[in-house]
Amino acid sequence: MMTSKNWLGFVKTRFNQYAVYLFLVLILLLAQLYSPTYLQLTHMMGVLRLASFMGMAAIGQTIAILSGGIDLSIPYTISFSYILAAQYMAKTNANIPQAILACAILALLVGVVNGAGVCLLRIPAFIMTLGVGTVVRGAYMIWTKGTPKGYTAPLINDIANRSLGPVPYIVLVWLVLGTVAMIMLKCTPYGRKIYAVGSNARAARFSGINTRAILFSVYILSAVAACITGFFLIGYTGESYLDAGSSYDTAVIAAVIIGGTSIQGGKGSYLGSAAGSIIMVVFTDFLQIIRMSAGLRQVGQGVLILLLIMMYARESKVRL
Amino acid sequence: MPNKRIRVPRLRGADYTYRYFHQWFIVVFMVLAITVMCLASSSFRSAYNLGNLMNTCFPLILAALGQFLVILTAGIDLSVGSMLTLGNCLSVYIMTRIPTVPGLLLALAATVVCGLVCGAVNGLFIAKFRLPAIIVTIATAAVFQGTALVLLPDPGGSIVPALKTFLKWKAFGLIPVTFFLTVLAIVLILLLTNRTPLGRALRAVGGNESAAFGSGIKVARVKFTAYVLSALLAALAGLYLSARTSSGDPNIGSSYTIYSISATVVGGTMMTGAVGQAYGTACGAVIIFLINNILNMLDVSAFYQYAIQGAVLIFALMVGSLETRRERA
Repeated sequence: MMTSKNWLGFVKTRFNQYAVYLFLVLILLLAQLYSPTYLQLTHMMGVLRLASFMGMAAIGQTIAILSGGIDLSIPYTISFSYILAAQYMAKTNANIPQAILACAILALLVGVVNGAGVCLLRIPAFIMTLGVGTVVRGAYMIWTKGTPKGYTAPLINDIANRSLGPVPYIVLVWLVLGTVAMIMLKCTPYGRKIYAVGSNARAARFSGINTRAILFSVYILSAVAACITGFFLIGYTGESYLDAGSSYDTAVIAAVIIGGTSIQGGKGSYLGSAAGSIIMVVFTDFLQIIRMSAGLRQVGQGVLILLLIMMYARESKVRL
Repeated sequence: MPNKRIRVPRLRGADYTYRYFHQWFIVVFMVLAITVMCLASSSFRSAYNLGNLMNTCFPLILAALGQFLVILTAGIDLSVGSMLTLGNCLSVYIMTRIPTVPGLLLALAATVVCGLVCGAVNGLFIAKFRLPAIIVTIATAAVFQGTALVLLPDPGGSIVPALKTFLKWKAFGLIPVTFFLTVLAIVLILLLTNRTPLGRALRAVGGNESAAFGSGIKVARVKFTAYVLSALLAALAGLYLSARTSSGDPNIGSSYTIYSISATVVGGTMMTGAVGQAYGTACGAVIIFLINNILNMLDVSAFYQYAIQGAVLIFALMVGSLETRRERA
């Protein structure tokens, strides 16, 4: 534990984990300085509403990155489940169970294929998930013939757009899912095993952890999180569009990295990713307020990731 | 002073067959596939279609050769597609404003410089700061793509006609100039990877970075070079696409990242580095567009192409992984 003598060392080693909250406060203050109504309750709730979708997708990405991999199929899975949900709901509440079932089957399929490639065939995670993502994109292109139809059910629409008092329902959903994810990661043997596999897979295997089963389940969980995101996202937009998930590709990874999760795996927390999601939303929002073009916003996002990994990931310096 | 060179023992007999089986297989497969298609379909064997196939493949072959160099070092360049888009948009941006031959030269120079600089950024972060290639190239991909969007928010623009004339020229009215450029590119990369110290260093770094470092190879410099060359080739592919489409498009490169990885993997290069040959990669690129070409001729909707290309990539990865497993056992 920390003693008063090496507090500097403590700050250094823990900086990655806690810097995100500092950033969050700073970026909110900056936004408030620029537009004085920024921190108003209604506007903040709007920000949280957007962040909740990002945050739900970040659950999967956080777990995947913690386990030492990465899941690049998330945006495509979001898009597909979003389209699936809309198609099956068709404006009626009675159809919601069918939509849930369809999304669950999709999550299982994507997760199993990703998991099989990564753990059974030992294909590097990023390339396997990229390939699966392409197939998923192709699948919904074929299915919708490029023009998705379908509309959200009123209940899901209410969850995404109505509020309980000042708090939107979707934020409550996020709160529940996020808490479950945090408890699972920090307080259950399963969660600790994910960290163990991520920090050193070989050591984890020798200490009796079934690393393959853990990795397999990680990719299933990631696909499930993506499908839940898509499922609620349809409530937010109402009508379904093609490639709705594509805005969640770089941004979600950025959110997880800002949150202090090491890209090498084994270090980080979901709370950080949640804060990172809020930062990403405020960041994009802020760039929009100062009227940056879409291109420059993308440049900004890329530069932000580069700066952050420069700050965070230098721990991997040792060679040999 | 004579250059001290390490002699690498040549593989012989069964070892040779085994190591190069995948590469040769893919060449034979490509030749067979083209022959069968030529025999089966008269519209396929028309000189127009074959020339067209060559022209379609050319930018991917360039981009994939760059990706191949990076994958040889056991890295990955996920910014290839965005780099290609940036090369396309930048060259069109310049040529639209200066529609003369000096404008063309300026565009060419700017594309080359842009490729070198962007590759240097990738190389700096990955080789010098030792950050993971996946995340660095995802971030730089966003930067390149964003810059392309700033230069050219909507598809359009025009090019200098001289460029089009040059690239439309055909030897004996038959063989397109891209064929010669392709052969040139493959031969150069083959010589680079198999006959030069840098090439050997690329493979050494991919095979075992620590061992390469320990035996005195400047690992950072070698990796840096690989990323610079990859970005340069992608930028040139973008310039070629400007000539081919006579315009710029900020979405033109979006599928090239995955295609370039597919081509490399289909061509028998191991994702774990060190193993692979340039001609295999080029054949992989041809096979990818051959599949698209066949699908088009069969009137299969373009929507199937994504799914099939993804499936091809996964299948090639499976084959590669099973091969390494046999080697390990």
